[in-house]
Amino acid sequence: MKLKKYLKFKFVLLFLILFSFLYKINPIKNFSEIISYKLPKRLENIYGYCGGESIGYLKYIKKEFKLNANPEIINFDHTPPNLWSIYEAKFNNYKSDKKIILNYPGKKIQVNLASLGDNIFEFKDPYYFSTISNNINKIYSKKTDLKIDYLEFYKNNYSNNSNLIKKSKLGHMNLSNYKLEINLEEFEIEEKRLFIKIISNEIYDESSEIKLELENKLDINDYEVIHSHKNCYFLN
Amino acid sequence: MSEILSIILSFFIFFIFLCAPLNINKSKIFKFGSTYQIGIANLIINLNFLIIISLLPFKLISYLPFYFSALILISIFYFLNKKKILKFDKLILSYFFVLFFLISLDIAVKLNLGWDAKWFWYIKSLFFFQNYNFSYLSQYEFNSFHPHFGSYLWAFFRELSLNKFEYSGRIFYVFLYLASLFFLIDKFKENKTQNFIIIFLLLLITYNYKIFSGLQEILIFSVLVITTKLIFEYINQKINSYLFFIILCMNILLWIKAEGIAYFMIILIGLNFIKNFEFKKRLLFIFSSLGLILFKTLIYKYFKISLNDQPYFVEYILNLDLQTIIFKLKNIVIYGSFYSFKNIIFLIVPAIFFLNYKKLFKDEFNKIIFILFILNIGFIISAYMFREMEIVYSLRTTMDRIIFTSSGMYVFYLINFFKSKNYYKKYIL
Repeated sequence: MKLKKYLKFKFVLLFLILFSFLYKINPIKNFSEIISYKLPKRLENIYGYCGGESIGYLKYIKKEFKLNANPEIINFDHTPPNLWSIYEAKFNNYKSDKKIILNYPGKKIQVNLASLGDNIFEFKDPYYFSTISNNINKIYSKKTDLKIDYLEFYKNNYSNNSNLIKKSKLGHMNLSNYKLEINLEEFEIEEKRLFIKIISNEIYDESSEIKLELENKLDINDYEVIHSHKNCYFLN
Repeated sequence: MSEILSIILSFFIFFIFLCAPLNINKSKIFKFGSTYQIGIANLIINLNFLIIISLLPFKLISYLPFYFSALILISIFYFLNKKKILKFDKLILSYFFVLFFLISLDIAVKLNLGWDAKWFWYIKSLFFFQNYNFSYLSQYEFNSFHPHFGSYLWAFFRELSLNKFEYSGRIFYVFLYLASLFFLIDKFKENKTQNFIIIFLLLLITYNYKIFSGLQEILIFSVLVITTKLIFEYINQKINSYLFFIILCMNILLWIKAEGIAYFMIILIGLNFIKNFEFKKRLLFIFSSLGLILFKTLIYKYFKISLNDQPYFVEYILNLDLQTIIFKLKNIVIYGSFYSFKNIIFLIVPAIFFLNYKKLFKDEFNKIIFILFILNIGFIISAYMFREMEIVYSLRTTMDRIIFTSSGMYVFYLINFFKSKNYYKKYIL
């Protein structure tokens, strides 16, 4: 009788819901993590030291160097803003002459194009790339020899209609040596999407692995390197 | 281990904000007010006090110890005047504590802040935490996007914590969230298992780490949960104190996020449809509400903060063409439906209206919630329609949060509906 009483539907339901909730938040794992790792280590595990958001490196720079203003941070991995991790309210109105560069890829930035079919590709995150690079230098593929007559650039408007914003004639030339020199800023892309249509007799898709090579706006050789770790730099 | 201790201590610190300034054991502010209702009333009063204090030209550290000590002293005074320490239900309080602890632990481990939190919410809280006042914050370039109060609470409770870690301030959001959910089951004392089923079910539906990642929607959600319960009580009991606390809740909404004004207006308009709402009271309600908006406007003018720093422009709205309107509407419906499926509360509510259509305008609370729902839908559509921003991007990045925030208005309605239909007794008990 007792067993029957305790197996009443409401208790089973309560148990199931409780179990699902506990499964969702996993308190045992959380408890062991909080006991095993101190906060700085947990932060580093989540945000990375020099990789991804690289909060570990930013905290290190703040601890080791006397900063007189909130430095400009340029992250070559597109992540959320990361100044929050070292922000000082007292420097709110100060302009810094120092820069922290994270995940620096070198003078050239490679971007994969996503195929949408019919030789149409999407250049994802164009606004972000327009802030870190000057020009599209090259279009290339390591898988195939590209034969392109024209490149057409489209951006969508508020009604999701795509407007042609630029057309470049390539005429089957040797693309490995040809510099496109297309300025991303002139597209005024903001949060709109950017599409590239390849006009060619050939058909290209995801398997063609078409990439763009962009010219980095920033050359660390133009600065004094105060500190570096892998591809993270503290510059003056 | 110190972090665990700090989380536990934080609970008791937050709990003080439920215990004063009103006497939780004695206050007659609500005729049928339970201890827990008075606790929530205290929380609302304290939050409103903090809104005022946050605007003053003082450093956080200069008044925080006094404010907190005053609350402790008042609580001790009440405590000494009563044989029974707390009239809070011990079992419910224990569950409250355990849930708070488990969720806070989850936050202390996951840690990752949301995009907007990294961009400005957390930085705004740093202004207060690093002992700068509202006036100095008004010089911060991203300040005018949204009001400051959520960030202020983040800094205030972080400063009150033992270890002063970033997440110590954020776990106050958990306290408010749980306090609002427990407030809902306050009346249904007769069956504890049923109450726990409701609480865990609500947690299962609404809880995910993202809502506590420093984004402010959880605060609006919680305040809306409390407000609708107060609306229910006001409709049924017509006690002025409920109306007063509704206004105080509306004030909190106004200072958390820019869209708080929309929820403020929805409640203001919605409550005007209450039948037999005395003319004098109605007038007082309207004028006090408008007074709160005027107060905020004057504060913003004084500190030279832009009142509208969101992408809404009259010129854009006037030039909207039919093609754009249709395209936007289509996407709003698609994304709205998709995110409603992810947030079951928002999906169930229209179904309940449909099931309950005979009572929809007969029962006053049903009617008001229905009106709030219609106004809410109108707000969501116009928010995206008139926003000068790429619509799909905008919907993809914000619609889930708007749906979540809005669903706060219907949580109590849902519980009350199932309760009134005796579904618990029929199918569960």
